Amino acid sequence: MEVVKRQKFKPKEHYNSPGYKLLPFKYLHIDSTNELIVGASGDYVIAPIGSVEAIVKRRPISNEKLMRDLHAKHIIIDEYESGGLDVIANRIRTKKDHLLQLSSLHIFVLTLRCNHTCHYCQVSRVTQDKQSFDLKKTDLDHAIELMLKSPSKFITMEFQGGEPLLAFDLLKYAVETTLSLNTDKRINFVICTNGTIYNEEIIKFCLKYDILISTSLDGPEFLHDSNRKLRKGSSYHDVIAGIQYFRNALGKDRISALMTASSLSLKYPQEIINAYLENGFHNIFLRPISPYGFALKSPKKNYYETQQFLEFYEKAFEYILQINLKGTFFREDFASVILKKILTPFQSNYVDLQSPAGAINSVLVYNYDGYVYASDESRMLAEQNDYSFRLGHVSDGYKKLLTSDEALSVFKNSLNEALNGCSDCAVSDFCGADPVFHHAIQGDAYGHRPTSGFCEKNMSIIKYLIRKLEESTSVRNIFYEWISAK
Amino acid sequence: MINLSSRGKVENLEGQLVGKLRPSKGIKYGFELVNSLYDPTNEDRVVALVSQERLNSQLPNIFNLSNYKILAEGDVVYINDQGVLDILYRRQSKHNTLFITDQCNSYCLMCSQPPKNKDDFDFHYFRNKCLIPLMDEETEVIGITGGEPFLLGDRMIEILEDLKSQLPQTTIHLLTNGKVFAWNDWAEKMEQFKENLILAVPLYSDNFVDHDYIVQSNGAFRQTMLGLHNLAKYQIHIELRVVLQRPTIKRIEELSLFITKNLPFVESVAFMGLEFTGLAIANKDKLWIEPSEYASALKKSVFLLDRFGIRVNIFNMPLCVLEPELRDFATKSISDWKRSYLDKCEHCSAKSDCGGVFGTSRQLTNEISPL
Amino acid sequence: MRIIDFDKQAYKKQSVLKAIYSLSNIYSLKLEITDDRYCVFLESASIKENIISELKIAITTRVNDFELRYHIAAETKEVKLLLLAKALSSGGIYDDLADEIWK
Repeated sequence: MEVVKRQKFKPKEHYNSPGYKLLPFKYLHIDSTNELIVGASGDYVIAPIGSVEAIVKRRPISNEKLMRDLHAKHIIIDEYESGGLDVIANRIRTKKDHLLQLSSLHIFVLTLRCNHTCHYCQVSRVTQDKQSFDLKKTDLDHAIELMLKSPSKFITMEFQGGEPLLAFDLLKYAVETTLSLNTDKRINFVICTNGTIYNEEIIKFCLKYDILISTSLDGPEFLHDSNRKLRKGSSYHDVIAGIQYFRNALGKDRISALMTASSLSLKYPQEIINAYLENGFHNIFLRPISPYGFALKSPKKNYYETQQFLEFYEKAFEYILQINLKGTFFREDFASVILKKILTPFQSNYVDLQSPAGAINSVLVYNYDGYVYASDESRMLAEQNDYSFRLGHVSDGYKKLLTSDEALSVFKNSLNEALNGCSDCAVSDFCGADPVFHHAIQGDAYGHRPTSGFCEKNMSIIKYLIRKLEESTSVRNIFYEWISAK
Repeated sequence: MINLSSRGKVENLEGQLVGKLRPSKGIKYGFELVNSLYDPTNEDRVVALVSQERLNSQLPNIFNLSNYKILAEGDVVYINDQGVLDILYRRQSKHNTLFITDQCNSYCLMCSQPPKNKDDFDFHYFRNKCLIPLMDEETEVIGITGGEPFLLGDRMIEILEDLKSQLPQTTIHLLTNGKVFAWNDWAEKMEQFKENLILAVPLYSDNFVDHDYIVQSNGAFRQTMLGLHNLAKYQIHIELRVVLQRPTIKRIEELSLFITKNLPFVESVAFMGLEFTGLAIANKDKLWIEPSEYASALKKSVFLLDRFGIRVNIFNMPLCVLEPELRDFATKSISDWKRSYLDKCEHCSAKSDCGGVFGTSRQLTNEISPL
Repeated sequence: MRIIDFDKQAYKKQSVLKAIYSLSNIYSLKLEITDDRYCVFLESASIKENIISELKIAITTRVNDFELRYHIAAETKEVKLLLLAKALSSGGIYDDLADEIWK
């Protein structure tokens, strides 16, 4: 083969531009010696404390790897080329892409009636009174109409309560009406049940419409039964039997469980995880009680400091990692939400950790009372006579509901990019905003971050996960497995 | 190794011809060269004869060719009055390509096909225009390569249009540096071909310094990145190509991470062993690296992308130099006419699964040993 | 135009700058420093009182690196707007992919 007359090859320095411009980035101290620097794309660099100052003040940085990292993670950009901004803009857009869909989760609170009396529950009633605590059919019709007007092509219709299976006829009517009216959407159905109510008719119905079951399991028997009370008998026994029954009939992957951590739960991280493992689950969502007023009717059982929860979380998490390192796949779902934000260019569809906040933007709640609420917590507030996030009646129509003062107050306070204390926080990209929480706890939807439990919990877990990511390849591999598992 | 180009003797020919080979009843050791383009009224128009020895004919006749033995029915060849015969298309091969130009707007340190400054657009355009209608409709894949094919401008679109209309079932695998797609209208032009088109675009690093250095072109990284994003808008299939070479190997894991974050839409990523020829020879000191030096980094990179859901292929690496877990990712990528094996490969149990080495490479790794 | 005026004696310089930086993420503002005073000029006159109190909280609680933060905010303000403008106008290229792989 012929070799052409050669051009002179130029050395690498020829292609380097020593000068650079700063891109919008944020930083914080991730441990005692390192800074976490996060760019507008959400990519991050960990560098020794003092690096940010050196970058900003244009002090010479001799560490070539750091310089390359800063460029590759979109923290800085060379002076001559601005074409790189388009790529970053696409990244930003991708992260906010779900906004084009608007609400995709639609929660229908069919009834407040329940056969349980859990001490951390804020809403349920043990009553036969269908009149006052069931959603009226006419209101349900309106709600379905609203849901189907959502611009989202993919919709989840979730039935909650109370115990929605106590209103099974209404549930059947809701699913079938929705399907008969739907023209262009793919709809997933989810029933959130305490798992103690099931029969052949319910199973047949779930099979027919490919319905997912989400139930509650708080841990081993003594703990579960202490948290979740049946009027007689053991809830644990019933729910485990229920889980088995649903699994056999619907398939193993069609039923999932949620846990809520009461004060008592905090003492038993490993026992809770073992209970999940023993009952055939491969994931758990370590979820604190939202410390809202109504959950605090029994403060001894339900009140704890965020710090206590975080200690519990880390203990549980380390145990989970050990399980995975030994070769068993077992995922912590809250971490997976955050890790997906950190490790992929996409947004998680988990509604409680988004900016703009998931309330309204990703979720709408049609309550048994015929009113539309901004989120699940919003309707719980209403049970305490706080109607701050009641957008209006189901018959009001989309436009009126979404431009109500209540809706505007959610929107106004739901962008962490523009909230004091969040706007310059390095991990805000992996976090979210929660005006409903801050209204409930601090009396101000805008919120005050230095004293916010939402901030304390999320920041702490996000920083912890980033440290874990950096700690070892094997942990990093586990995290990738978690986020790529269906 | 097969030589696709040879020089013999020629008679009765002025200028150049392209045609398809067909066995001839009259000639024992020769083919008729058929091309109806030269006479649309006669589909069987014989325009020349290609033979082992000189024939006594009024027709143009080319003979005494060193690569005569590999010629086969259905192949398409180019001949000219200098006695040149180039095989443009081999019907039995899976590695056929349209060569567009030797010119390029990059000057990669390891380029195996060093760019030339001569204006060769018309020459190759003529050959390709003649070739496309003569290719078998069953052809699975056609490569398009250069130089940088898009330097041909609008005529490159014309070639893609010809392929689309004449070979609607054929996958087009086009090698480009992607810079042209920094102009969105060029990305948009690809949309009409997207069903059958894969653009193979090299990306050498996750940062402009290292990439621009490899391709010896300022601003190349930004243009290619923007180009890739523009292509993604039109859902064009993209194969990213990452060459395993010393200057960029230490950031290969970072590059993989960069791809998951900034280019998650690519269909596949190919990690490619170096073809040690062309400019690579002059830059040996800068580029050469033994596979064992990057085995661990390559493994991590492959698994990262694989876990993320991007298909990974390893090109141009014999199986024996790869870690066992990576062998499933290896592809027989070296074109059949360039592929070769060493003497010691005869005893290798994996030879039939192995893509061999470049017959064109002037130097091979010492790490090859039969499995 | 609203002017918030600080006595240097009362507030350490660092705290004021930090707080100003926080505000600069939300409001368009200008800072003037004299020997004994900091003046923040806010283009919006309708700044809410809770923002003023936020400013005061910030002054008293923030860490010591606001000067750096202020610098970053000031230097990247334009490019931030440019990025947002581009993000709003460009096509959503990952939509289908995200659905396919991650949902």
